[in-house]
Amino acid sequence: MSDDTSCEVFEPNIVAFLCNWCSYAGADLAGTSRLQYPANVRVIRVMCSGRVNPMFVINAFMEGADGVLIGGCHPADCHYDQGNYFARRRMALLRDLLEFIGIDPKRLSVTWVSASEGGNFAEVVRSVTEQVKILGPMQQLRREKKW
Amino acid sequence: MVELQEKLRGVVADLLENEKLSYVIGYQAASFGVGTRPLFIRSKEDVKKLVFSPLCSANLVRYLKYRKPEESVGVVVKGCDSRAVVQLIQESGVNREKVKLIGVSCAGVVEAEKVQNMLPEGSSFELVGFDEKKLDFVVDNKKISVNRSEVSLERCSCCEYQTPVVYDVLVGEKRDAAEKYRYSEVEDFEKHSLEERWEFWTAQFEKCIRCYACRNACPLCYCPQCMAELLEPQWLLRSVDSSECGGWNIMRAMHLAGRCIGCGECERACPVDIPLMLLNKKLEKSCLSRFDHKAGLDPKGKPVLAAFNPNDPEEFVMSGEC
Amino acid sequence: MKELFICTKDLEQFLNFCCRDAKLLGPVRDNQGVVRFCQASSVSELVLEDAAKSNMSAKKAVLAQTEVLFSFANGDDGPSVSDVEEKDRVVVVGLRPCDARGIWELDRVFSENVDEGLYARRRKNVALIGMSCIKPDVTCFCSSVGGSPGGQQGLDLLLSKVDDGFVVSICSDVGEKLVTEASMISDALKEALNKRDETLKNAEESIKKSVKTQGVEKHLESVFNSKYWEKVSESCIGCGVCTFVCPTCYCFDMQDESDRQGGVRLRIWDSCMYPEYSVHASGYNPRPDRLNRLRNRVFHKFVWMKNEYDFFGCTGCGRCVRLCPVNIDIAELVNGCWEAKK
Repeated sequence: MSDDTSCEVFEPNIVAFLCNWCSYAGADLAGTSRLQYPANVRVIRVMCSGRVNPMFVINAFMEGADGVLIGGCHPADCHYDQGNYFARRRMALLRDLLEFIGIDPKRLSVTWVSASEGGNFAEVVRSVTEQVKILGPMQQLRREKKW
Repeated sequence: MVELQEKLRGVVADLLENEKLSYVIGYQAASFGVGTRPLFIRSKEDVKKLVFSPLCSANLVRYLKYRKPEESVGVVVKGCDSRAVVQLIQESGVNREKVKLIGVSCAGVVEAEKVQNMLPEGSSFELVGFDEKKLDFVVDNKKISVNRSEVSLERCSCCEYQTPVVYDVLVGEKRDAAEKYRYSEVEDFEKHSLEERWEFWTAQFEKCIRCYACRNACPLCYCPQCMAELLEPQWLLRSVDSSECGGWNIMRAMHLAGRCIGCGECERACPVDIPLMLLNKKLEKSCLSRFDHKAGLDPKGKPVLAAFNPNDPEEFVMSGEC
Repeated sequence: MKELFICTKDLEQFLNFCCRDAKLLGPVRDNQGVVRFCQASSVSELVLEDAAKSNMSAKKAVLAQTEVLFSFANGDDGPSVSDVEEKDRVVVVGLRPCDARGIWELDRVFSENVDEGLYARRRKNVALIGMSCIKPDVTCFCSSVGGSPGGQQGLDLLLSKVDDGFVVSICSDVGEKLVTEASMISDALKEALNKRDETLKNAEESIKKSVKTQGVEKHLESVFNSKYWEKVSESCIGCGVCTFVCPTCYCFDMQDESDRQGGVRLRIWDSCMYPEYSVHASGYNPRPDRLNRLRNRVFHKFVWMKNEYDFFGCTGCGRCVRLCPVNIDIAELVNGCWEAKK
């Protein structure tokens, strides 16, 4: 078999908005536990999943993300009591809207990961990366470079 | 039903005098053709210009955002318009005590341009009467009728609130909901594949010129500084192309999620005919099926995204194996 | 200039001949039945015979909504700036005299007293083939502001429909060049010219709207502070549609888009009807209300442009009247100012 270097495997860019208290800490734990998970995820820490404005997701797609992951605390465990409930409603509607427009909603994932769930985080990242890999590069809404 | 118009004039004249209102917002004849346009009524002379007919399509509630704090005003509201007021009350966007609502029962509005095309050419047009089935015009002294069904706005055929849900005075008989199922267009559209949907919407977003007429015509877009025009941070680039316009339409649809009351003014104002109501109705349907929520009905209610239920559906949330 | 004639059956061939090697722009009916002004792949797609007016004017043929002014890059030898390559040749077919006059006005604005080489470089690649108006719309008022249903300003060729064909008026050297070597064209006969004149006369007489514009630039200045402006601007929702569909509105914004490697500077249509248009960096806004902005727009078109260029910044196409969601009628507004109390 010849070594065909022109055939590159698609490595998706996935932006993850992780809430400071639970999912970010969980991601951190995955790191300190030396758990292996795909390096496709770029993390942006927010104080609460409820802080995530739907335009964060849209801007991420515009600027080159192939997938977006929102991580929050489990329902009833939000550090700020209710933030994740609002995020749940908001992201549900955003996913519905994206699907209606023709953007695969599997590109936008929402997950609850607590501070002690390092393994869970790694597994979620594995699933999301796999899912987005299958969907392929995101071209919809992509900002065109004019130069 | 020209008595409806006369009764409305009487009510407005009374309110203007007795309630010491700065002005009442109603409708008058347009500067051309058969359409109508907003009228700010301050005097008896102004009242004589007030009209009400199925050609009164504008949602006048959008002008409440310009009310000066010390002014008490009146506004003529149809069913959908009144829901905009309720939604504003929920959001503390209007001082209810400073606004007198003149509710008018509405059997649906018609598209002025379509009506115009069905009438012969002429120099004078007068609407002399209307009922459930037709509109009667006199064009240059000749009588001619237009079938309402041929010119009515699609969204009125599935209107659930033909009687205003909130008012201080009601003109006209109370009416039940229209019969057509509200979400048939949305469901038909969802029969298409993701690729087909995207093809449709890209073509629409390419038409968009980012004039923001949709936003300005909407009674519920009243932010002093719109997010779309912010420079720090800049969410949408100034360039007008498919990705930025797609972002704009998504942004506005999300900002109206659970708040849109379906008056369709955005779609009517759009100079490039983007089917905006299709987007808004999709989110309206999602809010109903996911959260059992309808916009603009209960003045004491909370907007859907400012509330939650611990048991909200989360079928889309991923979990790991651990 | 010379007047020629083309038979109806040869029209498409003639226009295709004029558009060879060029991008074609014109009125096209989309699948919702609406007339759009956009690029077409062939002349057969255009709606020429209709009296239908596209919602958007032909202005974008010479002033694109988003235009790259120049690009810049951060190279190994340091930063550099490059001009954008010239656009392809463009032929606009089917624009009406009001739209063409709008372009004529823009040509003057972008060349007199300003050094706008870019506009000129792009403009010389654009040829304009217009159609006279047979049936003015109820919102038209071109004859009140210096135009007419058969106006030739701005055009290179003007086609006027007569019974069995079109009279082709050559309006410029570019037009002359376009018809050279066109074998299907012949000299216009007297009957055709008479019929054309009669059609245009009928068209002009059928224009219902008229605006008293004689001396209006002076009168408007005298009523600047009148309460009249409160009344007329009350229903304005500041949506800006008027400025976007107008053939002569040219206000623009500029913004850079870039990353570490380089970028572009863009010119983008803006609208004086938005509060953001005039807001200062300090936050102060000299035109804080809709009243200020609406009055400013009327003055720009009917006072300041008249004083500066001796034409009104309005060609009477009537688009703003038809498309304003609240039917603010600029003709009615200007007529009304004569009665305004100072």
